[in-house]
Amino acid sequence: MRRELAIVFRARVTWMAAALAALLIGHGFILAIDLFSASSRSALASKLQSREMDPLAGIVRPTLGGLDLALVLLGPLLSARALSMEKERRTFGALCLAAGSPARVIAAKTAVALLGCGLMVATPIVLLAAYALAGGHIDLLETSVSLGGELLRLLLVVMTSMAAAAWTDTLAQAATVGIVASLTSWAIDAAEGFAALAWLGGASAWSIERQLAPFGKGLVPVGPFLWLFFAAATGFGLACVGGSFAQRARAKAITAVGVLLGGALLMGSAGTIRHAYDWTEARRASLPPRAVEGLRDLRAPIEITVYLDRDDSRRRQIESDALQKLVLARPDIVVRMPLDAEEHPSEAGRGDDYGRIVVRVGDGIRETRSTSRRELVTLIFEAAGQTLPDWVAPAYPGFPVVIEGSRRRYLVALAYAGVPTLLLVIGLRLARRRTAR
Amino acid sequence: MTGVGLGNPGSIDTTTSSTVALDVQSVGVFVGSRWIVRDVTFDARGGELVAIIGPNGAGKTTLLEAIVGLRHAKLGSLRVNGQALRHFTDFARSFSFLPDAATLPPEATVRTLVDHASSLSCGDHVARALRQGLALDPLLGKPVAVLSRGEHQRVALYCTLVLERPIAVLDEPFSAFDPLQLRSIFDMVRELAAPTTAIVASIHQLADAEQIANRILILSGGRPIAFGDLASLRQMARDGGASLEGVFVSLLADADRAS
Repeated sequence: MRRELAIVFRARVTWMAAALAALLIGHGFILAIDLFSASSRSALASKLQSREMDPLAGIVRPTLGGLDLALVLLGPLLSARALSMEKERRTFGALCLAAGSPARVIAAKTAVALLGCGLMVATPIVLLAAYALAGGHIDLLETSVSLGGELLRLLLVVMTSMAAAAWTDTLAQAATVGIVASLTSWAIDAAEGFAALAWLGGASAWSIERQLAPFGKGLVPVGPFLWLFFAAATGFGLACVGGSFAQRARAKAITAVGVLLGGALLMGSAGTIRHAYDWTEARRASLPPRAVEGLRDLRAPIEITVYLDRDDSRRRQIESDALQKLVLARPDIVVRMPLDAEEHPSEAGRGDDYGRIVVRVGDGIRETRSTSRRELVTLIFEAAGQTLPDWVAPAYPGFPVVIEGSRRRYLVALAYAGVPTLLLVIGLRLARRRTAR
Repeated sequence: MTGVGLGNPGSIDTTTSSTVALDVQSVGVFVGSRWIVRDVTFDARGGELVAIIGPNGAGKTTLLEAIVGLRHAKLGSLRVNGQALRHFTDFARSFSFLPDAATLPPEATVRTLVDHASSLSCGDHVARALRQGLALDPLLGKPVAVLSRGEHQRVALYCTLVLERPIAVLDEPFSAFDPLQLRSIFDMVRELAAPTTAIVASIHQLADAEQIANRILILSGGRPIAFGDLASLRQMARDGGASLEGVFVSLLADADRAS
């Protein structure tokens, strides 16, 4: 392992990539702090408004957004390098013979690639700790969940890049394939708003961003966790097949297709699991506890039909708020969006039914046009012939903070200079030893 | 097959080794749309060094890669100590391999590589002897990036030979050494090859091959021209006092004429 560690950590490129990532992340962090401070100035005057000042959404997620970008753009290069360089140096085969199997070599390379790319994760941790020291509020648990999502992304990027490295001959080829694979997920997400990519819309279930989104909100979703794990395992399987020797090309291709199909099957199964855990501070991603208990006590199946098309802002609001909270309480809730079946929805074509939200609990049916979560939950209980339980949620006070003056200067210096410079200095020192006679 | 001149049944086997360690039978390697290596048969015995020589593009490297399992051999069979090799783990148990023009990771120090290779070997005493034989101790603290070509090759040889597999397959192992170094390296390799390890090495410098090899396989255009010890090759070339270079040129010319 020391050999593999040396290849990754004594290489200048590892530290330069980490320093570049630190700049990207730092920039996102400072922008987030400035925006959060600006909002906090007015929020501090109003208790109601200050409840909306959520550091997870306002600070942690934008900071980790920089990490996303760095992982997608630089991660493939660093990860693939660990394996591709052995191929370019013509040592891969001999190394596999010495180790006993290509899978062992690939596993060792994967482990060090994870550590190498993991350097990038150090930056947001340092910056968020500095934010807390500067007077900001960071909840350890929900921030860890968000960071955990990024670690899953890291795992996926590394595994995909390993597979790319195993199936190609050079680092340039492997890094290109790895970056394209990572960007494909972004393209799928962009499909909704970009006509040229609309044909990718049907692949939305395969969007990595979609699987990772709940982690960013402090939720631990079982299905997406398994989906990402299986995706990473598929990448590792493909890497092992691609790195194997003495097989006919056709046999290799057939095995690879088998691994892909097996992985897709497992991912598809994982995608149906809707159980999730709310690890946000004050459980603010959930409905009030009594309502949750009441919903879970309802025996009848619950079905919600929403007549809103994808482009409607109310649709996005109900999906990200009321429906997400309802599914957290009752993962078996069936949600239907009949208008998604229309190929070319247009405002002009909307009939009187448009905007209806129909709640069915057993035989009971209620209807509304409101997207309010309280309204929807009330209708569910009404349809079940019951009254709404106490609607009392633990108070989330919000954490507005204005970071300015010397505290801001200190954070700016840390984000733009301190962390990147430290990474560069460590990298140069380690790399210099490699050329010191 | 032992010591038989391919395409020339009159050659003689004069090797003295006991058991066949590596048995290569009719191996053929097909790459893209053509045969790079075809119908190669030879064997190597415990304790001997078999040199593979041939002009550029003769298929030496491809053959060695097929032997160690890094390339798919479309035809033929390989046996090590009588056992057929089927899975990669069989190859890994049987061979250590030094690829041609391989570059050790410049990020690592010699000590890191030596420790890594030693951790994969079985015997401490072999590792110690090899380290001394290859004069690695003064290099241990150096980063690989600053090694000379000869030093680099000594480290690479150590990493290959220390594994103590039944067969060591070396692709151009001696090209980086000066004549003085070569003498001690030859002695050490000969010592290592006794009594159980067989060494199969492609050697570009015919004088080196003549000096170190017990038997020699001559390849041309992916096909074997002859295989045997120097005496038998001389006999095949009908020139009893010729150097290996003379034999090589003569046999290649014969092969060209025949084709």
